[in-house]
Amino acid sequence: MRKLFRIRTKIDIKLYNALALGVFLLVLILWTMLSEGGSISQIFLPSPKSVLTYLIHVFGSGQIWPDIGISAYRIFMGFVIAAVIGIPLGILAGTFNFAEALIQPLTEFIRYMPVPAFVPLIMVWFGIDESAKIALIFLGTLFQLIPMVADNVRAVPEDLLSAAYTLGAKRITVIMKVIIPAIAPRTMDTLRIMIGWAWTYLIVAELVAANSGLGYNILKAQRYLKTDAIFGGILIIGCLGLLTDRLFALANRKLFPWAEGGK
Amino acid sequence: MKKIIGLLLTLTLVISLGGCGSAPPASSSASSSKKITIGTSPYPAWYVWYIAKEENLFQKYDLNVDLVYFPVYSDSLQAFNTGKLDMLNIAACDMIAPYNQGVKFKAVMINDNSNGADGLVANTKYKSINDLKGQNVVTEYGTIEHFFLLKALESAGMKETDIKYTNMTVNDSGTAMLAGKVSAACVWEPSLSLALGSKDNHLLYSSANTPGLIPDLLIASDDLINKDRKDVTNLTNVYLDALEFYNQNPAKAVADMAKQADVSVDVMKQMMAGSKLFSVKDNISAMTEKQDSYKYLPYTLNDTAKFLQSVKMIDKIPSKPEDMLDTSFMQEISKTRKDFTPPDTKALAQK
Amino acid sequence: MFGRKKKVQTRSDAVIEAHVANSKIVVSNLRKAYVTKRMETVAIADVSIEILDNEFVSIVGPSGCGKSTLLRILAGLDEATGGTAILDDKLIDDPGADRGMVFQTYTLFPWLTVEENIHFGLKIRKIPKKQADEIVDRYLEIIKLKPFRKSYPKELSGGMQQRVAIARALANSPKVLLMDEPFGALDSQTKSEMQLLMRQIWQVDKPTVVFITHDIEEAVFLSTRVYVMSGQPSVIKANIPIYLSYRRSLELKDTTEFIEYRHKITALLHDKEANADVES
Repeated sequence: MRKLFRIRTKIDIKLYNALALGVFLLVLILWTMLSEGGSISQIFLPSPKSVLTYLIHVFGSGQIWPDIGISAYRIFMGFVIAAVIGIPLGILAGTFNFAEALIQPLTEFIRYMPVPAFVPLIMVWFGIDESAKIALIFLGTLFQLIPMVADNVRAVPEDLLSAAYTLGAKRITVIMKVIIPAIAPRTMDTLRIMIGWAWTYLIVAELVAANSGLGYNILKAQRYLKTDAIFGGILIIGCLGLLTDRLFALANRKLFPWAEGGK
Repeated sequence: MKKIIGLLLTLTLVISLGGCGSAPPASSSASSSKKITIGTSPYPAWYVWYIAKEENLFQKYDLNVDLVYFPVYSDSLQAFNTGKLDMLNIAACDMIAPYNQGVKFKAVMINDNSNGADGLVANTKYKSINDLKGQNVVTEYGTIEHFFLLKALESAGMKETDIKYTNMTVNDSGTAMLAGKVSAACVWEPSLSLALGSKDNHLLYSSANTPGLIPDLLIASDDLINKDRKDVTNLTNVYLDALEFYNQNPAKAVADMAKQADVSVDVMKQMMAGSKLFSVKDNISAMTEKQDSYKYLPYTLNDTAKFLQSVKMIDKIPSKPEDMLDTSFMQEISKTRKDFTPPDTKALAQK
Repeated sequence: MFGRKKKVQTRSDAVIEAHVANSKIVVSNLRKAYVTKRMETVAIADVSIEILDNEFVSIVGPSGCGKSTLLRILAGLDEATGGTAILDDKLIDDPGADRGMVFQTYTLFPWLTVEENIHFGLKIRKIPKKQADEIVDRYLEIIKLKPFRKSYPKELSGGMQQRVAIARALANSPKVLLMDEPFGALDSQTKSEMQLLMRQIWQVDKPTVVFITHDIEEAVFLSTRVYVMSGQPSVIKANIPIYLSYRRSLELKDTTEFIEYRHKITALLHDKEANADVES
């Protein structure tokens, strides 16, 4: 029993899993009790059963897949463009102090502007088609990515660069052959975190002006007070987010087995 | 440790104050007991409430009223359907879905019929509704305006699948039309005038083409009605008082409304022209005199429900649409109050 | 200074002949000062040393005396504020492959295997593959890590990583090998093993080595000469040639001669006077 409370001591894996599962079950039971008990109307809290029915219906009929597809496409595009632009800028800012002066103060400033507030502006600039949603995700993720990549670069131990110099490497080689490989696993992790944010911004975009996608689905459900569909939609997004998160984590382990703290 | 607690307390205080501050602006009157919340959003007939607010007409009945303003119409629907408001200004069509879902309310008064206040605006390169085939058309999903769009399409023999429909709030739709980002939008005032403000846009279809199709109502939750009939009656009287004030002093009335809508007096006058305001007699006639035309509210409701079902916006048609109405309040008022003709907003706009 | 021929006699069996045409490294009146706010902190006041070809020179001194800074200036990673450092008649400014370095922290590139790490400098110099492979093989053999050639640094112990670091530096054929307390982070057992290995490696090619340590025993064991630095603001206190047998094993540490050198240098280190150039 005492072992449970020892700091940083691992407990038996079976116990761990049992506890985690237990929490989920507890939530499920509470949820069922509250909704079936009738004290809260179905509009506020749909029963787990109705949410499950909804999920079975939309997956069974296959009607949810185009929405999942389009939402995933939007995130992918916005994310890739942000990565392609943001990672090099981050590397520059982390490597050269003058680049940092040019890039980071502005980035930090924009970073604190609330992305949802940009939505009406984006609609005026881009209209209402895919480019608008991709632009929103791009905006939301780029200005977070740049400082994080720059920090990753600065975290590369000075001695590693010194060692490269004493082996005859010149600046370009140091950037290409030392800094970039060194930051690879950390940057992959940064990307994993960013994908989580990308999902949030996607939903904001789809709530405001869309005719397809998971966010749009939720909006429609909201208009018809179909809270089981709203819950279901949120669950789907949550699971998809978790899935992308785990995929990135897996890719990190597989691509960079040499990294410290990995397998 | 003390520092941390102190910091947390300060933070909590700041957040809760901020939360209080961000509550929608109240329009309270006199002292009185419990507060009654009325939800309104941008639409001509509903700006009349702000005449009452500016001219302190709530005081007469010692009412403690909170006029909750929702810039986005759908948000006001959400709020009422989830029990956050006592009363709501709503388009008749949008009563049906919540009624089916079991939300408990009654329509107590008809504000107006939309007579040009709703419209399908399009870029001038589209000369007719048929030209919109395959084009981007926006409006608020699942609301009266969505319904109106489908009716407009129907009038040209088209279906929603013939165009590229995208959801957007009416406010955003107006802006999008001004920015030329969409081909067409279905909006109501004030967004309608806003969109038509650009010479690149013109009106393709108007509620003036469909008189009686779009009645707008004041509804009250069953809770409020059961708790306090008197307040409901009094509030209805306040609205009528505001209309009488409008008759007597149109300039001031329009100014009061323009202030809330944040538009010029002239624009407000033009906007009001699209709203055919109802008198007490009009109310009773529309709610009780059975006939097979849009002049009879339950007929309109039934017809609307049939259409909504055909486009799969609702699952079932209410068997007795009259049950959504409570005519008792207007009946009572007709006995205690001298009727009057409401302002002829079209004529006033011509002046 | 230049062109001095020197034949050095030792007291023990082996004779070391220093092949000296020119001195390899000449440091003249080197000074390093830091200016902070209104104060000037002088780390290195005035250091002049001369390192000949094929020498193994250790520099010992109290903590913070600037010996690491001196090494970094030689490596071109730091800049002196006064004086000069010259290698083979060329002024030292930028780092380069001619001055290989081994650091106290393990600086192996974690994303490269052991053999790829050793390859690194060769790749930059575009050495042809066959030749490079031979060099890598040879050094893997010398550091006795051939079975680990495809391992990643994270799979190696500290001692093993340092061996690879040494191999990586030496494989690149530098003119001088600079070593900054390379065994400082190791436990005493591993440290002794590494010292022996280092001596053996040196005995093969006799590269010119400048070695920083605060472990006097280590300095005496490995070196042909030991410089003693004073504390800040530092100068060279003493310059002690080590006349011990050429082939050294760990038992040497117990011999009288060894212990004498150790005592002498320890005394010099703790002596407050700044005596320059005491020849024994």
